[in-house]
Amino acid sequence: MNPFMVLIGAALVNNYVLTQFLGMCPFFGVSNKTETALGMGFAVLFVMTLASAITHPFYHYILVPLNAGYLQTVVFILIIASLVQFVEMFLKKSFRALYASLGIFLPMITTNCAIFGVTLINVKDPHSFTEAVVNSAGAGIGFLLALLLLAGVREKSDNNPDIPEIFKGFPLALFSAGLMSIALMGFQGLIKF
Amino acid sequence: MSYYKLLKKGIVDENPIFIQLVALCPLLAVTTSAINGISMGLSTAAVMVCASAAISVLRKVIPNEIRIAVFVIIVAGFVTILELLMEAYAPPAINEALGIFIPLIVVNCMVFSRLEAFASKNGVLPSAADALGMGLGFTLGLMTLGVIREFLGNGSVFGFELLADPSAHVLIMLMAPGAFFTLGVIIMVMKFYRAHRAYFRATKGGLSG
Amino acid sequence: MKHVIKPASYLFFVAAVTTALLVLTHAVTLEPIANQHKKAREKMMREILTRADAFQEIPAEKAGKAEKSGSLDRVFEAFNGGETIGWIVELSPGGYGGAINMMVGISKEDDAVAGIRVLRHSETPGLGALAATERFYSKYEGRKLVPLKVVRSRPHDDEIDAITSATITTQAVTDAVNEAIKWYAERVSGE
Repeated sequence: MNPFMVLIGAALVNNYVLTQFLGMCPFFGVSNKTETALGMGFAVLFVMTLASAITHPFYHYILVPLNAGYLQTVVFILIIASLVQFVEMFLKKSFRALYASLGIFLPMITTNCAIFGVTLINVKDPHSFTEAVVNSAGAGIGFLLALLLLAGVREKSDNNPDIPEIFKGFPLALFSAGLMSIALMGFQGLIKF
Repeated sequence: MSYYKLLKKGIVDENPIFIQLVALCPLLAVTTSAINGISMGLSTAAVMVCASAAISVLRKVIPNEIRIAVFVIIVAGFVTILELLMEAYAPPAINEALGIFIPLIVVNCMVFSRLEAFASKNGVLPSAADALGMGLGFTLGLMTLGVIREFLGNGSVFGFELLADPSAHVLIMLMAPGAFFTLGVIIMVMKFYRAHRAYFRATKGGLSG
Repeated sequence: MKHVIKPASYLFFVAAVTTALLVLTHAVTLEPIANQHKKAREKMMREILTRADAFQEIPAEKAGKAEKSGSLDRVFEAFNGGETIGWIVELSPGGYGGAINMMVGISKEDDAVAGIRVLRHSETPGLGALAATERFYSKYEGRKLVPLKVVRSRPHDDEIDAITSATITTQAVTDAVNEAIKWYAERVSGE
């Protein structure tokens, strides 16, 4: 499939957050402010793309020849956990500015189910290496987009005195997410499989 | 703490879904029917009980600096065993519906928080009871959402048809937005109840009173 | 150095024990899993061709999979008491939400479509997902082996009425049935 189509498909049509419910914890947890949402979004986009670029070849060139595909859960989560550690150390040493803005989000990413989920989907579906990496990048962009949009809505609504108290916080975040999800359904059927 | 209290803590007082609001991914994704919700809940509970018991046994010999890595390996191990067993013995339809969310139990924040907060500090049986309580509380949450969405979206509960007329079905409840709306309404009702608890208690919970 | 080696060896030990347990579980469940997959597939094939008592997969080159880029996956020959009574063609056409993994049965004695079954799909619940129901399957049962067309109302002999608001799904399934019919015409009856 055309890489551009894969990218659009992962970011909009099958948005992993709003249509497949991956990465709910950070989606509701760090969407209070647009600033933190932006940081978290970029951290996820970065680690997600990198994680797929490592797990995809690992699965196809090591686990499959060994007939050990069933070990993917254990292997992938260990790869992601160590990857996050390395990225954190690398950023701390070489890119202080980037570390200052993304650093605090990195430890939270190890148990981010969006990253783990996307690496699993990439080997479950018959994706080539390029497709897998582009798909992850698209998924990361989709996550960033959804997080940023929700943060924008919440920043406005949580400070609005006209909204009844029982709507505020979680209920309103959930309703907003639901409406965003309906809006994204408009993209369905955009891509011919 | 007695075992009864440990169980009650997970199911009622600190219910992971309604009170703590954790583990939302599986909650929203697989609750298109009551059966799917229960299957996912019980699978998660099984992994939690096994992992909590194992960590509790090992709690005195795990070096503190690598405990998270050990947790991850042990949980991932139990999840893979569950995956293989389900593929071999569970009905294919259930397997298909839960899909990727079985391996995703590995990154379920509820599982980790129980290991870190309870199992690594307590004996085997209390740890297992704590995990079972949380697992059942989680199952209860998934089942509630599953029942509501299946009834509104498909007119049935646990597969028994109650509203056969397709024009009465609200399809969007089965799709992604329906999951967000259902949980939103549930939390709103809980917030409302908590805000007016004193009033409800005084009138024995009757809305008309 | 000691404070690195001890945790590292501990971690290695835990990982080794876990892997050993998984290898063991895998060995134990290998056969039940294969059986489960085979049983699910055979159950569906038997629903389509009720009289069949055995199915055998036709080798890929003989089924003609290699020579074209259609959605055909594999073909099974169905037997009753050693005699061929029909074929099951497995295909994966592209639907609305992704590939639809499905089977089309062709009955030799009726010279007609015996039936269809959907194995796996990701169509919209309540709309395209209705393609995986008895009611939709019955639209294809007993159809003559001529290409079918999708229409929106009052179907004639060679037409299929689309599921409301799910024309793409209906079209995908019908295309697959037509491909199976074409396969039959080229590979079996045309020989």
